[in-house]
Amino acid sequence: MGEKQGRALVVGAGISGIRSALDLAETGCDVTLIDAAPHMGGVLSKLEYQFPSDGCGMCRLLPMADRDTCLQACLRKGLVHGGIDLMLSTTLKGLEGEAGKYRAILETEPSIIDPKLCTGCNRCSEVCPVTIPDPFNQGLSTTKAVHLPVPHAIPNIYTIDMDHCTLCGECETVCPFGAIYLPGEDRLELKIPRTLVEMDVGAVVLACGIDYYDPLSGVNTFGYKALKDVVSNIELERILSGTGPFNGSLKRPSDGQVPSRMAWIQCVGSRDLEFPACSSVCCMIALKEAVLVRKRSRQTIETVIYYMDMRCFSKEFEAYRRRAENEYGVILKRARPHSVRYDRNTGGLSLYITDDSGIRVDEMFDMVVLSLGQRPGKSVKELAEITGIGLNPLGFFEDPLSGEGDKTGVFAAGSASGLKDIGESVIHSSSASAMALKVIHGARSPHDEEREPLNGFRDVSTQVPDIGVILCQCANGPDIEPQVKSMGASDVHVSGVMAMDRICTREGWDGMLETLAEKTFNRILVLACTPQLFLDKKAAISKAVNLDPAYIDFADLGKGEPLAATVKMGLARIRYADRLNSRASAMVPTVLVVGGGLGGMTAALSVADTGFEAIIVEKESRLGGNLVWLEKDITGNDFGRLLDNTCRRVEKHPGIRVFTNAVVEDSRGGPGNYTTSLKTCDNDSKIIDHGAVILATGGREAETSAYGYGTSDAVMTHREVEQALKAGTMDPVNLNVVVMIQCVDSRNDSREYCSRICCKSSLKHALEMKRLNPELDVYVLYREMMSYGFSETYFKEAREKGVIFIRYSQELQPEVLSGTDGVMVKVHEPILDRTLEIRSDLVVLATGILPSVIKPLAALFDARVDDYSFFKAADSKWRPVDAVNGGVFACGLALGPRDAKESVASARAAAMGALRLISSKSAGVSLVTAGIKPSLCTLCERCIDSCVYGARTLDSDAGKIRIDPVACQGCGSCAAVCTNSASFLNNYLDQQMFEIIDAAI
Amino acid sequence: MEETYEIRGTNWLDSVQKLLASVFETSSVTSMLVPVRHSTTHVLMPTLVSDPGELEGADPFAPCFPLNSAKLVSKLTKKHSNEIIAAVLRPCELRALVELVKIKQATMDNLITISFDCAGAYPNREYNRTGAEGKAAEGKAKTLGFMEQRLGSKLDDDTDKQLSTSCRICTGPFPENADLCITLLDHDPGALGVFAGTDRGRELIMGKAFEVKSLPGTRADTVKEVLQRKKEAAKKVFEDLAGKTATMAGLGNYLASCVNCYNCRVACPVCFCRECVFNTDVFDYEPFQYAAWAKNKGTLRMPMDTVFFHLTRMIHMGLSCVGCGQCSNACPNDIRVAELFTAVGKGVQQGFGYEAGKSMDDPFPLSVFFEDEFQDVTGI
Repeated sequence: MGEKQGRALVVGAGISGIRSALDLAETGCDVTLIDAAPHMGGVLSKLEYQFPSDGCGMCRLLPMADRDTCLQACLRKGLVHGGIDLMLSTTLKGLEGEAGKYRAILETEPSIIDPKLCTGCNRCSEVCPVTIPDPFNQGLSTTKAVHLPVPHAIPNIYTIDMDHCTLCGECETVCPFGAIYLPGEDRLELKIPRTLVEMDVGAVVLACGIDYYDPLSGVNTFGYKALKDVVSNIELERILSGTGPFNGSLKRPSDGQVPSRMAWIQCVGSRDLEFPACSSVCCMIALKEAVLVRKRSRQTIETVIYYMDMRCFSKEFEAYRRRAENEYGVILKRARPHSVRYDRNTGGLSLYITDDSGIRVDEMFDMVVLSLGQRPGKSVKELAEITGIGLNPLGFFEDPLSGEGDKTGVFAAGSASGLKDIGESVIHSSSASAMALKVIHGARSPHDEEREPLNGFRDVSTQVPDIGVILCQCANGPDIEPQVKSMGASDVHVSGVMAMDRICTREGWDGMLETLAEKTFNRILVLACTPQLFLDKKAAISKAVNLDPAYIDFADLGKGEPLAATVKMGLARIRYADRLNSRASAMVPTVLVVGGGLGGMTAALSVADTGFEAIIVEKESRLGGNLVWLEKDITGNDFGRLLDNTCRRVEKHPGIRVFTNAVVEDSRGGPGNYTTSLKTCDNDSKIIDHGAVILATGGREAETSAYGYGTSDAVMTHREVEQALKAGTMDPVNLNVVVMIQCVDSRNDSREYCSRICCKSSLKHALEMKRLNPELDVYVLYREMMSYGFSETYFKEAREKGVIFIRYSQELQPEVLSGTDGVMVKVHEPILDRTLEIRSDLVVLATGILPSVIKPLAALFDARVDDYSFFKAADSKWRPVDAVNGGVFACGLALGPRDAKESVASARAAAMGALRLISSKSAGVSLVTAGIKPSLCTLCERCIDSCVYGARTLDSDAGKIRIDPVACQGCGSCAAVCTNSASFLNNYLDQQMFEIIDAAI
Repeated sequence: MEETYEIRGTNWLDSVQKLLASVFETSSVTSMLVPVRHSTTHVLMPTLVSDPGELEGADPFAPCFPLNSAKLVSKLTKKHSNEIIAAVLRPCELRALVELVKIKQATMDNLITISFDCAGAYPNREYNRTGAEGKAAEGKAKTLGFMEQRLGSKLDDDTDKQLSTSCRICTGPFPENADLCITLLDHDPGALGVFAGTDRGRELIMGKAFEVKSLPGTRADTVKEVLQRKKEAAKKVFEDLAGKTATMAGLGNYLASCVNCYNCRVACPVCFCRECVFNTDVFDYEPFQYAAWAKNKGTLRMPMDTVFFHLTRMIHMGLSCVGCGQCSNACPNDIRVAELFTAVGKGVQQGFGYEAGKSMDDPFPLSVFFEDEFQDVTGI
């Protein structure tokens, strides 16, 4: 050891692990991605519909720069990236050393089915006599002891459930490829021992996810597993899925009937005495599931969600809730059902419920869904011990506000530090990758050198195709060599068909390379099974034959399609294979950060810490933003110290330049190459070249005129209270009664979104005031307490300390009457069903958050704002901090309301996004990139309108359409709208597609 | 209601010539594109007139338009010029122009459009056969006779069997968004009205020495009645067509005599490509490919790709088809291309909630994206 390592280890291959692995691989690190399961995808492999778009879209995680390094296919099926080694059925067993220089010990489960030999032909499963509950469908359907763990994975390798296998040996006999090695009957140990691998890594990202509460571990008053029609929310997701137990039709498990009334019970295993935290995402999951059920049933199934607080705290979620209620007719009832019982008379399920006034209002349903709360992942405790990362009192990884100054090279990503929705998991994972990248930075160079420059290959672009066909044959497969040879003979462009024995083996592979090296083909087509996995092997062939990988292609023999069609389609594709001649200009290794608050500074540091340059533009005279007036957060983090530390690091950092009193004036260019002019205080213009931009323009506390604000000194906003407490001008000892009103001017028709941090701020102030003056009466008037995640514990603490929470509704708002001796607050108390009058010394208004004006700035960089004037992300789940065009990012309050910790995470994620772009080598244009034939172009500009990535511009001087090959993502919209094929998509040419279609039919 | 100005000449052509001459007088228009019957050839052709004195031969109402002039306006305006021109266009020509402007093949920046209540036209060959293109005076008389009969019968298509099908089923024979709109229906014989369809038109009309007259009160009803009749005729034609072309075999039969002359494409005002994809290397097959196809099927109809050509054209310009009927005029083998394209065009335009040529403000389909659009189609 001793050498700093350029390799990163990512533990867990769910959404978060995939995001982190791609982040690190795209920035030039070697990545080892491991997962304990025999497949990747984590919980997402079981989910098909995700809020708030009710679709998937995971492919939006795929790289946008250097696209050819990664298989461009559905990520729920699998991830194939040249820089990522995937090790399944593998766990981390030991970690020694220090940040940058770890030695990791990985243990791989023995595979009874050799993944290298299994082709997924299903013959083993056909003969297996043992039927077991299918774990993929949560036991709602059955499968065989030897089965596919996930039906859609690439590669699709069978596994054997050794707990149920009777070792009958049928599968071993029937396997045509000899892939199955069952342990001998007379001994229990397996033929293949567990393999231990030691590996040097620089940093470790722990993305091992979470587990869910098991109702059977408690008193189980809801009858889970005892009553067949009481299902968990994941079981319902499986029922709704096309690959689920009922092929996607909604039926109840007990008798296969379509339910007519369904209930969701929220907070099962959350927000109770045993687990005093909120699970953050279940409210939205329940809403989404209810909407899906309403849609599927054409609104015939009644859906009722029983909840305590509907926590739709993210930017778009309140709007989603409104849609669910108003458009889809999902019914929300505030109650915590006591139990579910079977009703003998009707065969239905009876929910025991009491309403606000304590009266029993039982209701009958025929299906009940339990929204199960989060629990720490099984491996979290062991991983904490191995890696030394801390655990919080509830057993999740600690998630400190600032990792600065920490010596560790181990970082938690995603839900492992508390359940998060997809968008936040993606942000949090990129944040972890940014920190890991900082540790690894400096040791990445060897990997860079391995990258093949694309120049220097034989120039075959103008040569007539001279195709060499490699046919991979399995020893036991049918003999198809004569057929393929005759097809080759009848094709004028094929000059050789060579049959090889199993190129998936080392001998076969080497043999193929030797054979190819002797020839001078200018196009090579390899016919083999699961060719998706050969992505990284193209480079090896390319090197052996000195041919641009663009001219090497694979065709899949394993899909069970007619051989002639497969071969001829492959030949048609390779015949027209080419690489566009245009070259992308080099990435400018600088990131412009607009805004010098906590987000902007963090983003700049993350960029600069990895060796790139960051430039901060701040319109005020000093850095700090909202941090300047904030004292601390609810967990006690000292913002003053954070501000000082961060400012000092920014000022001292050689890689960061700061312009204060400066604003962005104009910008030209696109992702990778922007030229931006700044206007500085002395009216000077400053021109800056940069490759990416991060908008960290922040937001502010909203102004208000509600509740008598402005007419009485006793009515204050959060910010004023925070400042008064910080300055010592307010002493709670002098107060007797304080009333806090939540959701002022928020979550209504004029401002729909929840500002998400106000509930936590109120809890913070209430607890602080109570600490300073325990005699003080504090009333919090709220509509929904948004103390999501672990901040729920402060809600509990506040109630224990005597803070009184009174719920009000949008229809029945409190009134504030100011008089000479303080203020009178009138509010309707729903439990007493009476109007209370509270004479108070201080009324604190939670007025919410408004974004800074960002629209004109965003427009300069071809980015947009959303309905609420925050930055509009390309996709709130999968690309939560990026604009569509891939060169513009945002963080902090510019994205939407979030607290300091979440702002820091988003800032690192934004920096990570910018780093992914500017560290791409872009030596050549990605193979699937659009081009233009100017001689055919009529300049109708429809391609410009159709390009969502802003990759096309009209050069009116030259009278030509220009394409930015970095911004182009090869979607093909431009080629589709162009009527005379002046716009084309390389490797998807008209002639090529005609020939492929011709071959297919 | 827009103010309408009435112009009375000795007949309709005299009236319209007066109006056109006045445009030269009261605006900065330097030339005007208008159908003129030429003094030497006596053939009616769109002509760019810069001398108002030459308007004597102008005959925009003749029951014939040899080509859709939108294409000519494209030539006149596609690139920037300081000349301000006016163009007298049939409503279908104006609609085609609107489409061309949207795809940046023409501009309206320095253009004044003049359109009129269109009484329809005969197929070009029909018009020529009747000998109307003989002498100038005869042509004029023919136009006036035609108008008398058409306007007198309130555009009753059943009284004139020679009228082209496209005109019989045209549901947009009245000008809507021309700068100057000429009304002929419900005026006294020989007289016409003019009102402004746009702000620019309003500026032009202000202060003109015409008699102000509100639109005849009966006009709205007449327009409604005419459109209703034409809609019914269209429905019948489309139903008949659907019966013939609903299957690939049926469509193949319908287009069986196509010889890939591409005349329909040349005549089409909204086919705007510089070089049609069917003329590019995309359809340059290798000789061995023809042989292979013939071997596969036993026979190979040549020329190939005739149905493919029409399908491609439907995809390319169906959204912009304005139903002018020039494609049928152009077909040497009398394929009724226009009905087919009008029907398909109407269908796809309906799918996108779009009407070709209706308004400059409607964005061209597929150039704008909304997250939640077409959920009924996509099912997500």
